Amino acid sequence: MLQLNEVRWQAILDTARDAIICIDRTGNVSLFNRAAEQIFGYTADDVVGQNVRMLMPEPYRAEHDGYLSNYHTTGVPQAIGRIREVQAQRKGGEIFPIELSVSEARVGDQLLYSAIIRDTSERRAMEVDLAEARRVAEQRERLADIGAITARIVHDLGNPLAGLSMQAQLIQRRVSRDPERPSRDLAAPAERIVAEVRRLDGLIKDFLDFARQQRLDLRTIELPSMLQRLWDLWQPVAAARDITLELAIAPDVPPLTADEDKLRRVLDNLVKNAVEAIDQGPGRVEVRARRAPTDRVRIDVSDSGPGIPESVEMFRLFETTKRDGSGLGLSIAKQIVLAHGGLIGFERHQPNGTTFYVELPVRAVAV
Amino acid sequence: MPSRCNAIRIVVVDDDMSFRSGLAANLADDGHAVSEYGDPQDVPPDVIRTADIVLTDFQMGAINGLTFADRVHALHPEAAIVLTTAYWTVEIETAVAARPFLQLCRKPVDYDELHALVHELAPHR
Repeated sequence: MLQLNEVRWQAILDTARDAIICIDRTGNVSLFNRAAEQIFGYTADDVVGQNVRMLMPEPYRAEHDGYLSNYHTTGVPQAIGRIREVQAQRKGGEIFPIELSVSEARVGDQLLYSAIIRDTSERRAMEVDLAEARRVAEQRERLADIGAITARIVHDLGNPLAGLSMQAQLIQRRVSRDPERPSRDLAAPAERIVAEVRRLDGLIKDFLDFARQQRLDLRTIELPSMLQRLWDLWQPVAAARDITLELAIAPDVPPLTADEDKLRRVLDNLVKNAVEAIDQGPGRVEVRARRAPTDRVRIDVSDSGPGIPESVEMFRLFETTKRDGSGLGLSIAKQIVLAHGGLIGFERHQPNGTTFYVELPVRAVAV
Repeated sequence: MPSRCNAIRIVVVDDDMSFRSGLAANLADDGHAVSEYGDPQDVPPDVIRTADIVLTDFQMGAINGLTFADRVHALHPEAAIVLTTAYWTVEIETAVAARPFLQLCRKPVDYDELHALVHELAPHR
């Protein structure tokens, strides 16, 4: 029976993918399994009977004896009972990241510490690769944005400039043909120039909003009253289009640390989009706020509109499904939400309707 | 000012109100008979059939200037058509080059140059 148990234990030790190492109270290794051999590059014979320090780089190597004696006198564990991310050292000297969990056992009157060690260097490398890939993707997206901005400027500024120029040429020609010409003949083109310049100015402001660093003015805000003001603003607009605007705030929604003006702008944009998606009712727009897992607040804006075509990338710069849309609203909203450390997205409903959602950390930290 | 019977009949089609109204007013000041439309789909076939020259924008909502130009040409092959555009691509240039009845004019437009082109295209007037 005892033998069978030993065989069984040996099998477990041999097939474990994690390194399993046991040490005594002085730090000398008494067990070094097959995975440990593979991970560290030593054979069990190299290590058993030696101090476990040989598997550690500095500063752990110098501090390990101190850990042990400190634990023996105070009883306050450093490593026992939790998984820690530390570093280990292979036979060749290579230092690599590990996850370490240590437990304590008493065999007869012998104190024994056993460590389970997972080599996380591959995972770390993957994380680094992933971060790099993400950075490159973001950079590429940024470049695509710049390309889109350039095309948009050429397109959006070219036409109004042509209009301005034509109106100005009209004034010029009228004045040069007949300097005494009544000024009312010049009033209309002059007014058009002023209106056109105002329109261009609005466009430039939108561009600036997008380009500007989203510096946040973080304060504690009461979401319920803010959403109520939003409802007050949009209810008449919705009612005029035969759209019911519903507001539902869960009682457990906590106060939020956020930039009120900017968050207001995001929600304003979502409600406006929802109303415009329905266009003419009967229809329904619902704004719901509730607490979400891990200290977050989720705000949903749902509409019963026709839905978003599959081909449309809603958060892409200049992407719009509206005839006169600038395609900047959701791009700006996304920037603001990301700056709060939150996320924004949407879900399609069958057979129709869309929900846009914003999730914000209860305590935003300016990023 | 030229007399009314010498007036060239010009149709201006552009969804940019500022450009359209400015161009139409300049042409009217020069004595031409001008009608203007913000949407190519609003231009009645009879107006196209009696036009000497059609000036159209390229990028306009539902149908673009090229499609509209083809429609005008099919209705009234004698009409000269000028495509004005702020948006200049190789695709547009080659599309225009393939249509001998079509002239290309870049925005912003120098009115005097455009006016000279209008006279050149309607020499019989």
